[in-house]
Amino acid sequence: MTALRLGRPLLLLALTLLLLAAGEVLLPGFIGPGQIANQLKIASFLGLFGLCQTVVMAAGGQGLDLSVGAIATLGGILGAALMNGSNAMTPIGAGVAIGAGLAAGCVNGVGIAVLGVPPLVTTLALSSVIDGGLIVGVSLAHPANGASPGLVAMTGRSFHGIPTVAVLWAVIAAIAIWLLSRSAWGRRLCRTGANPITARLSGTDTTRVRIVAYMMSGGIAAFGGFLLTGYVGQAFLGLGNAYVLTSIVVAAIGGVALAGGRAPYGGVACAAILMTVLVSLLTAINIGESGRQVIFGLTLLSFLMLDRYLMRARH
Amino acid sequence: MLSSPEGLPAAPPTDGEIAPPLLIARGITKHFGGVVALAGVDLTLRQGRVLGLLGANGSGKSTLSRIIAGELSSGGGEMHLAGAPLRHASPQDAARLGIVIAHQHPSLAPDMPVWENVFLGAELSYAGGFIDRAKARRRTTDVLSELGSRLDIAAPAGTLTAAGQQLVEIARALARRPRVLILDEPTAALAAAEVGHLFAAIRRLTEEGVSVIFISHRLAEIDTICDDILVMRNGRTAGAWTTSGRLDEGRILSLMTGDPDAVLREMGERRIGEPVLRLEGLRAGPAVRGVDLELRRSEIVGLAGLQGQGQVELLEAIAGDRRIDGGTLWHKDRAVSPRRPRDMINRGICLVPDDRRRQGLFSGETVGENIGYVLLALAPRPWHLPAEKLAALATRAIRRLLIKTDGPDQTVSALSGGNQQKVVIGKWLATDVEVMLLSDPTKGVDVHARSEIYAIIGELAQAGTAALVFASDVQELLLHCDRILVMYEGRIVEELSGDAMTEPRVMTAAFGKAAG
Repeated sequence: MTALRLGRPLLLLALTLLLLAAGEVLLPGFIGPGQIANQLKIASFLGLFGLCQTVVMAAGGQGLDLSVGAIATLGGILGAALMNGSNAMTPIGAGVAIGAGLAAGCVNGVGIAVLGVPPLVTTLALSSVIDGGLIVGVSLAHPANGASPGLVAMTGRSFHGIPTVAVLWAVIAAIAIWLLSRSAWGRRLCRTGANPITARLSGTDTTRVRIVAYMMSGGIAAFGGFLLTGYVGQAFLGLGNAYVLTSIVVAAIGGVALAGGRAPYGGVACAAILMTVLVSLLTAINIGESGRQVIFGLTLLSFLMLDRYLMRARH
Repeated sequence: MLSSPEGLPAAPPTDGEIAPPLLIARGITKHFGGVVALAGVDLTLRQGRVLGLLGANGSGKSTLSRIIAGELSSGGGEMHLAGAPLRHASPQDAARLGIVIAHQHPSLAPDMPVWENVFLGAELSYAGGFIDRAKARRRTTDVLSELGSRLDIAAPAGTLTAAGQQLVEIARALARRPRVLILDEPTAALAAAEVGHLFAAIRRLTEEGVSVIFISHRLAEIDTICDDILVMRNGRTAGAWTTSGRLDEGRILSLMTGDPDAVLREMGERRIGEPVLRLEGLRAGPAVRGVDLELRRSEIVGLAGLQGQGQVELLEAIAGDRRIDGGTLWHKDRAVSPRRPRDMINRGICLVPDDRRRQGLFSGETVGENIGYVLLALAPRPWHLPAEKLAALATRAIRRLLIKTDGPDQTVSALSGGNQQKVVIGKWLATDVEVMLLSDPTKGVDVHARSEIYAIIGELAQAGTAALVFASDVQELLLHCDRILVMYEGRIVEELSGDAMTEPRVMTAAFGKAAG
């Protein structure tokens, strides 16, 4: 068990180093300090969205959050509108963005855990409601969309060579790993995913556990969108779209069981780094978007097959 | 009537006369990979007698019977049938020689009608090779009526209840006109009346000279039907004798466990206290249609009745796992309307559910994780993991409930059924249990673990817990309960206590006063 828990992140890190070495051989300068810092920034965002999927997938019941992209866009646009370019308003913008994400996640959670609508359908529907609503809202209100200088500085700059977003991500990851694996709440979440009937009959309010899981996903996604606004400089429609599928991919590669019950965020974080390095390597050696997608898909498939193999080997 | 196969002596052996052996097995061994299933078993089955085969789960009963029935090859030893060496290579070979087995878990073709299942693999044919459907249907009806069953022989086997499928499995064995009939836990799925019919059928067969090997965990059934007893332990014969008068339960237990001092643990003295739980006209869905009952501190109350009369649903409704549609549920002086099991667990009312693997355990997790989960589910500070408390709880539960395990880190699915059930009970030691609801807690559990489970219930009751137990085996309830409530069609139709607690009284009520 312990070997498995540690084995996955180590395997992913080894692969990452291998890719970095290959990159350096093919393109000298690939692992320069600036490059590494840049990739860590990108990986931080992917890792945050991967955390959303980790939590809802662990809660079971075919858990999945296809609305992370739309909620991120919502968080970015709301945050930017409230900040209105001012540093003083930045914390308020962040707070409102996270609040909106929690609310959207709550809608997902109620639809899934109370009304029993499958997660795939619920989150896809909410995603489309938010996307559509944002188009209407933006065209009517024309809100401010620029990030405040403070936010731009925080998400873009490095502190002693380490990007500040990456530090922020590391802190969030540490809290997440501790919550998911070393707290009573983490056990409730995973057991609810593994066997909701036993969990419920043993005194878990499984409905609440699942609603909270989707709320966390929504809150983190909105915060991720808010940070993205700083990273790119401004909020725009479709800001978070790229993260919908990639977040699921890194969760699966990181070792989160699609059937629920397991939330190894350490693995997911490593997977986010690996996939970021993979994409940047492929881009650097001029493999186009279609080629990258093929390689992305193959990587996902091979890890899923590895999971099946390990599962069978254990029984 | 079933006629006896040719080549058998017409006259059945009379009492007092020693019946000649029909099947003798000597030193049978069997390995599965490195695991020794049988380490040299001797078995003698006499003409026209019923041999009760007893042993804890995993003692090798099923392996031995499958070897005799030709489904497995033996690793060593020899067998003789009616004096001639027995060397069969397949179940078909065995069936030709008259050895037939009815399995505990029937493997019927779910889409085929009952009659085709009964004759599957042994089709009655005309000279031209066509199947004689009319004859097969007629014979199926005959055999099933022998068993007192009026199953629709045209119904697909998959649509039958567990009891119906078991009857079809038995009918399938009987239809092959065996000389040696092996029944592997035939009664586990059957209701008491069906067991009665089965026993009558077995008696008729033995009068015709058929020999029967009967496997069961229910001592009362062994006592009723068996002439000879064979106890197995760890793949060996631990003891074999002819019964005379009442069954010696102590001897069976000590042979099964290898512990000369093993006895059925007696329930200690209990002082029954004030009422803790009271139901007034409780209704829940179509299954529970107005139940009144009262449960007192330290009291053990049994819920009896035929299968599916609402007992399981009643327990689930009290536990907060089923919506209550009407009536009142009183806990002490308060009317409560639970919306989820947690509401009742917080009041100290907890359920040991019907299906331990699906509802009671996290099969992939360890013994310790399973025992500790209730503590985590109720923990007031969800960000905290009380690791020391969890470890202490697991150790305490393993010791107190005598759970046989390598330790708290063993995966729970590796334990035997009885020990898994103890884990399900053990997780409630994390709370102060005022009322424990148990839904068929000894299902698929061997007789020794069964007595241990009731001893645990007894100990909890001594400490003040009230227990409401549903069990499909009436004997169990008669032995351990202070009162028995009989359910019929979603209502309690009879309450029995003291001298009135007898099997006939329970059974009469179980068939419903109105219907009777």
